Amino acid sequence: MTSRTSADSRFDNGAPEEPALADGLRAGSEDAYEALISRYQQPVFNLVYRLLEDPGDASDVVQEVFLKVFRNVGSFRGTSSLRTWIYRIAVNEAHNHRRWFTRHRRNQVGLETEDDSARHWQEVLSDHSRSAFDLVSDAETRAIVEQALADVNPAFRAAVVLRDLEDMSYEEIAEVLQVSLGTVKSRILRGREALRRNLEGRVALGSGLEWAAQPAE
Amino acid sequence: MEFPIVSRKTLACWRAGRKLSAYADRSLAGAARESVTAHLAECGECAARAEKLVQAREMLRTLGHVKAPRELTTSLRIIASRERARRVSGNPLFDFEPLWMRMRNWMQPLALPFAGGIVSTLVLFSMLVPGYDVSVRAASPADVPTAFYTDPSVKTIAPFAFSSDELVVELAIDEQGRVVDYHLPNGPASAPLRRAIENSLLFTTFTPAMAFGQPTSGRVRLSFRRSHIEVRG
Ligand SMILES: [Zn+2]
Repeated sequence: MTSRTSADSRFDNGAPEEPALADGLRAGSEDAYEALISRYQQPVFNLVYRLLEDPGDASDVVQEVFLKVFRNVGSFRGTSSLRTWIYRIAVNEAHNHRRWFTRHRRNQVGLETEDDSARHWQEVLSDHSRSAFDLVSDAETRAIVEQALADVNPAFRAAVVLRDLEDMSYEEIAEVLQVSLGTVKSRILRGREALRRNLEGRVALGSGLEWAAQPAE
Repeated sequence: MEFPIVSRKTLACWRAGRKLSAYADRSLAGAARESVTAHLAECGECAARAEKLVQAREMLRTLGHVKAPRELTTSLRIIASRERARRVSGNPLFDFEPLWMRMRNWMQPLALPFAGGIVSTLVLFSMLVPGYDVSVRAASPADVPTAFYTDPSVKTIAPFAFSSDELVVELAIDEQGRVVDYHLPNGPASAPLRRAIENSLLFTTFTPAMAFGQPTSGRVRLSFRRSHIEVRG
């Protein structure tokens, strides 16, 4: 039941016919609702998953996001694209959830979370600076990168995730985050530098890795 | 304005630094790109910084997308169906008085024990949809002694139309009595039938399974059978 025969070719042909999709949602078209879910549930889930402190809550937050989208599509006026509008709702929901989470959990757990992550690192790494090539498995590398990303300040993390994992343009990110283009660039830079610092403690970057120093065109 | 941190803040380094994000993700072109490239060729510090940014980005991109759980689609369809109904009916009260509540109101004059669950539901169901009957069978987990386990049970169910003689739906019910997933053990169904089922599940509520006195998740099997009108005790 994950896939559906595309009887709704009006929305499903891959072309970004977002105005038609938004109109369909406003009119309560079943095909439009279905197309919205199939088009956006995966990217929205991924985005929310990366922005939350506890990715286990991602499904709940995604449901909130879609509920808000369905409820508010009537007031969506198309000055931004449907995609950036949905992402903006997702970023805000993740942010609200994180604030709630921080308020409610910090008092209860105290410093335990930090101890947990420290223990986690000891488990993942037996040795402080291994090169990326020494890492035994992809899963291990993945866990390291994921944790390094999770440790980046959420404001910078959102910009980096939108850029590097969702392939949004700087202009789109500015719309999603409601900040200036200059702030977007600066947040991406700072986010990547924080990520690099977090990775540096855990894998040896810049030594023996074959990634091109100068990205090819 | 957020300034990048560099150890030797020459003007050239500062200028290049502002463009390093775009340089690292290849969105810098033309003269701007050339000027950064020229600076990196003569400034080891900025070149090292750029290299690390590129590497951080490349590593990050290996993460790709986390796959959304399968049951999320079901949940989203249920939300969509409810919201669509709300929008189409144009009735904001729809939200607060879903079908099952109206059904309960109809039932009260009959003085049926609503909380009794399936028996009254069966009666109601056959009243609304003569020609079908429904039976519920739960699949208890084997690892909990039955004395400590009660299966999920149906509180309310909404009728829906189907054309085959029998339809079996297996449901996963979470500890709050919500449908988290469904499965058609007798093979795939057409898209319209699936939608009808999902719409019906929207109005179907359950009492969660109990294990050792705590609500827990469980599975339940509903079979809908086309039949002649039958009076059930
Ligand atoms: Zn420099």
